[in-house]
Amino acid sequence: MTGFAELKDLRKQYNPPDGPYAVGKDGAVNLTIHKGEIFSLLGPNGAGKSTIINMMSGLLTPTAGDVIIGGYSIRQNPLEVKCLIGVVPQDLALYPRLSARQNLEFFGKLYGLRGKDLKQRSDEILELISLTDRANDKIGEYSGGMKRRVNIGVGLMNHPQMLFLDEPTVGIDPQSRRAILDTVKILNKEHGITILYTTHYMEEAQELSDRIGIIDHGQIIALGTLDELTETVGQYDTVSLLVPQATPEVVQQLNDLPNVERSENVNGEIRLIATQGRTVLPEAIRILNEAGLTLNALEIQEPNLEAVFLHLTGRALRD
Amino acid sequence: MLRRILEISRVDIYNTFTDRAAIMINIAVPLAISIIIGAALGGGSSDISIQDASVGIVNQDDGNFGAMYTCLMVQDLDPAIRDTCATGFGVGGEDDAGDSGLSEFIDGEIVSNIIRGRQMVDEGELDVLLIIPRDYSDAIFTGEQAELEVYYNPGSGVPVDVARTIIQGIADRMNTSALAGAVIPEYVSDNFDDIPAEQQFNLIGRIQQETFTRNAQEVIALERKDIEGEAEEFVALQYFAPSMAIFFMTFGMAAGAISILEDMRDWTMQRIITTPTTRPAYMAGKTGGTYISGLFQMGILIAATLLVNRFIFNDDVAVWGSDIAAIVLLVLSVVAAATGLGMVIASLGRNSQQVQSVSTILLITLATVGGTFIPVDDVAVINQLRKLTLNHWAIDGFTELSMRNGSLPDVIDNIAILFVMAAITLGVAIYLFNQREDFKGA
Repeated sequence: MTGFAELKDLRKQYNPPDGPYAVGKDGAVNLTIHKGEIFSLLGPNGAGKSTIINMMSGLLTPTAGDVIIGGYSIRQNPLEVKCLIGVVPQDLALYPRLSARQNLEFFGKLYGLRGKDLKQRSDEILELISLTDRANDKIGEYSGGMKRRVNIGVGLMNHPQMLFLDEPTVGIDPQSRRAILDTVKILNKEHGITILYTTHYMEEAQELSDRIGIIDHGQIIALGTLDELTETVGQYDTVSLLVPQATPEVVQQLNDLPNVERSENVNGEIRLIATQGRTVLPEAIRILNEAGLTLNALEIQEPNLEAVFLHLTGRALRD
Repeated sequence: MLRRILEISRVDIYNTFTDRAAIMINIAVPLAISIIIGAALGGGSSDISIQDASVGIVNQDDGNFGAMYTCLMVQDLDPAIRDTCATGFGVGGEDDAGDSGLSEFIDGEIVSNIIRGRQMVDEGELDVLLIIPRDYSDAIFTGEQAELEVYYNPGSGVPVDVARTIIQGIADRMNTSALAGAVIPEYVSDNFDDIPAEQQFNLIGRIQQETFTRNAQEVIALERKDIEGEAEEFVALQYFAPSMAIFFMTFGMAAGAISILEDMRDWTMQRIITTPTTRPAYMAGKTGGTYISGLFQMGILIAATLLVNRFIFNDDVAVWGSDIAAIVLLVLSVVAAATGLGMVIASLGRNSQQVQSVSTILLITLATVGGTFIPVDDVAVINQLRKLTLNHWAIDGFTELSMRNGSLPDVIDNIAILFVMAAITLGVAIYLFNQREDFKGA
């Protein structure tokens, strides 16, 4: 695979020289996204995912480094880069008093489309997002899921070679989320569009991605395929015990059990990183019973990105 | 890039004119207020003049002072009576009726009796009935209290108020002259008591007549000055149509500029920037859209007020003036200045809600100082401050064109000042926007 987008020694600091870093405080960010892949940036809110997308799309000027997309530098040739990319922001960046078609055509015109090409592309997009029959309704009359679909559609108007999707499923119902994930797969597999997908939902990154970059505090702390990343935490399971009344002494007792690598208590949810998690359960329940604590729920997760993030940062992904 | 700028402007205009609330504020409200004020002050060109105050006079007095009111107020007077006025007091005579007679301003008529007169007021045929009692002149001659009765319909409005004020003024002057007639001789001559009674009476009479004549001329001249001044300079719709249109247009322009902050909030601006569109192009598109919306707004209001004046007030007065080129240039310049002002306000605010609140207060203040709600020509404190407001220069320009029948050379300074205001404010706004972290994205 060839590199289609490259982040070279990238940093972003607000109000330099004393302002806070959003990206690259402890070392510049370098990353290559291959042509035709779905690359996910996974990290908690505020990790720097959107800042990276904003620098890649020309909205933010990097404090240091550069972004090369399709051979063009975002610093030197921003307009050329913008012709290659489509951006789907986290917000519903649409005009509510315009219809879906009017929104598509407006942004299509900004991409230079005119006349028959513009209409044809609008029709294609409306069909792709399954809104042909509601094309002339105002956006303000749409459901949240429909707006999200239009939001994606606008990003596709210019036949982009690379599409940035910044947390496109935030705040929508499961059915609409499913539709968006399926659309992303179609865009990648059938249209050959390189995708940069940011999310803090581990499941989405696992389902979609060819490769995943885990980002925290503006640094990419892990990078690879799903299998490569889960291997970094070995064969550890995550045993989650929901015990609202748990005390630090009890958590320590659980941490001292055989096969338990680490433990933590997040708002009454005790997480045990353990080899062969099932073997830990009998002893763990005994300890809770002796302490007179009620176990409200338990879950055993096999190695996943959540465990990887926990392993790398000591924090849960959604903390 | 020009096509992109025009497209951004087009969508901006579309958004403005599909927003019902904006249409209400920008067009319907100023139009309604102009019409209401125009109607309240007597319609289009029905200025504040007592020409329309029909005053009936029932003169029961046999003396000259009673006749004086008739001479002053009734235009088509019997020549014999007018001669009496002329010989008796030196005012209201045929020769100078046009100069000193209130008949120019009051549509006076002699009414035969009080009952008939009151009936005419009740039925709306008269605005005011002035009843001069018997022995009114005698009372004045002898220095006794002389009372007039003024019968009117309180709901008849401004003309009645003005007529009452004038009648009151004349009466006051008559009382003064009576007092002068009674007092002055005691001081002017130590030998006054030695003069025969008949000569005393004649002397007092002459003093009173002379005093009143001068006072009457003064009061008439004074009232005429006021009335003429207002009649020439103040026509309700000519003042309030432009002042209200400009006032609400500034809100429209501020809202247009605030839409940049809303675009930033909703991420539509950022999305536009991710297309091959530059920030300057975006700003040009938004500014252009706001400006064109303002021109539409003013155009619609001008057309609407002209139609209202023509078909509701049945008047053909030039509400906005008659020099088309001057009107167009004045509109172009005031909308440009308002656009710049709106952009500055928007560039200073943190978010659209904050700017909305601040702009409301600021624009109302500027409008008040600029004379939007009342003419402020005579308010010394405001006299200098108002020159800083676009409202003042625009209202002054439009009233120059309409009320004083001015033309382009008369308002060229106003136009130039407004364009300079626009250039300065737009420059400041662009600078301030470029300093914003959330705008430049750096």
